[in-house]
Amino acid sequence: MSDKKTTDFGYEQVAVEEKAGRVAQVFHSVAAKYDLMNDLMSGGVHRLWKRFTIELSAVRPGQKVLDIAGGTGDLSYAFARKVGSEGLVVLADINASMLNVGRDRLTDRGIAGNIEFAQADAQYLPFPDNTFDVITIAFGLRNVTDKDLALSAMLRVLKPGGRLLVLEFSKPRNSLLEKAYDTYSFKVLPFMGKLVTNDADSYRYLAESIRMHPDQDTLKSMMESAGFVNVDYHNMTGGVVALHKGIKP
Amino acid sequence: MDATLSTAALAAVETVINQALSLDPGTRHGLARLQGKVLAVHAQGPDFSVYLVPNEQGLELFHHWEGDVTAELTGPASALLGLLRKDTTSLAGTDLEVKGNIAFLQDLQQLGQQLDLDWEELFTRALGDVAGHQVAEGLRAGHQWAKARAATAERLLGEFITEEARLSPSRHELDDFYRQVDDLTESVDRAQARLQWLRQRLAARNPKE
Repeated sequence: MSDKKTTDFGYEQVAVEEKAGRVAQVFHSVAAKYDLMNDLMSGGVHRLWKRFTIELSAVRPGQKVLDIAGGTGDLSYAFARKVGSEGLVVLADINASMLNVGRDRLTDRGIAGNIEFAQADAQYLPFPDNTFDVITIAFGLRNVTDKDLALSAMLRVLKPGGRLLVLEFSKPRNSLLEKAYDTYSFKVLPFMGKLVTNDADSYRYLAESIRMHPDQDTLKSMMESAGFVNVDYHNMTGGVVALHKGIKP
Repeated sequence: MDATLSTAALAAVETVINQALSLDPGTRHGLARLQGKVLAVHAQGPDFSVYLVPNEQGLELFHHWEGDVTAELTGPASALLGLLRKDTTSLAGTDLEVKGNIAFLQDLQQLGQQLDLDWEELFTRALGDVAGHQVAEGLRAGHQWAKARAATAERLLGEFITEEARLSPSRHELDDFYRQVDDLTESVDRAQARLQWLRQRLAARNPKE
């Protein structure tokens, strides 16, 4: 038996140092058509989940926002408009392909001056302590190798009183919905992935990684253990997705 | 209610409002001047809150708001909906409670009442210039005919109530009555002032009293 530390990559166990590279391959593969696939996979509902996240962020003009795993920049676009010219949004993603797509899209949509781009690992955020008023990580935490390390890094760069919002797939509250969701994720989703991006494996990984991600209450206690207070979550679409909110004391 | 459903409902209403505003640049410009202000609407039965935030693009709607609000409107959902339907200038007798800057609420209400949609723009966007223009012309003619008929019906009903059935005084009689009340008020004011003046003169002549 090997002493090597392992972690989950979907349903597969891989060496800890291997996961980031494997996740990167997935996102390099899907980056170009990521938004199209999101719309297809969720029937456009991911826009509503993100809209609710923006509402709960309560971002105000002049604030600093870090959008981790910001990918193609949906949230960053909304935040950049909200913080105005006095504020700042940092779109961070570990994956260069996703970041390039996000940067191009935001520039095309006229966002400039109050946005910066950073290729950064959520576990080792390259920002000074107490920098941001709001941090969001939407559909990104489950791909992080060491989630506890990432939550601690987020706590460090948040200002006291600042808030972290984690939008992530979670556990459906209803067993019937869970069954339907399973069938959809493991049968329909990879098929759509094959059709649109010619890459069924990446979408199979996405479905598997969702199942391996901690459920609502587990993530809540992880955030509390990291040092966040007033941690709470909202289930959306019957718990398919949950939005966790925590405050830095 | 699941946050997805309530968010979807709000997003749909916001889209409809902003689509309508895109057809009325005047109102949109008026809303842009109110940027930075927030109206909180708290409905009861069903209980829900909506925050209206004007901006340059139109109106944003939220379920959650943690910043300051400029004005708050609270009351039964039915009364709030009634407010949307009626061209009312007063909230008296509506079971609605207002807090904060009432002038902002009046500005919003006025903008709502002034909403003048460019229907032709809407139809030409969907149907093209020629068909869109014809449909808009037809609708415009129909709208004007309906408006004229409604005005005639209102006038005839008014005449029946005041002239035939004598259930209510006519506008002229009321105006005349108001004028007489105003005259009487002025006469009383003048008499009071004169009495005051006479009292002062009397007091000046008889300082002992």
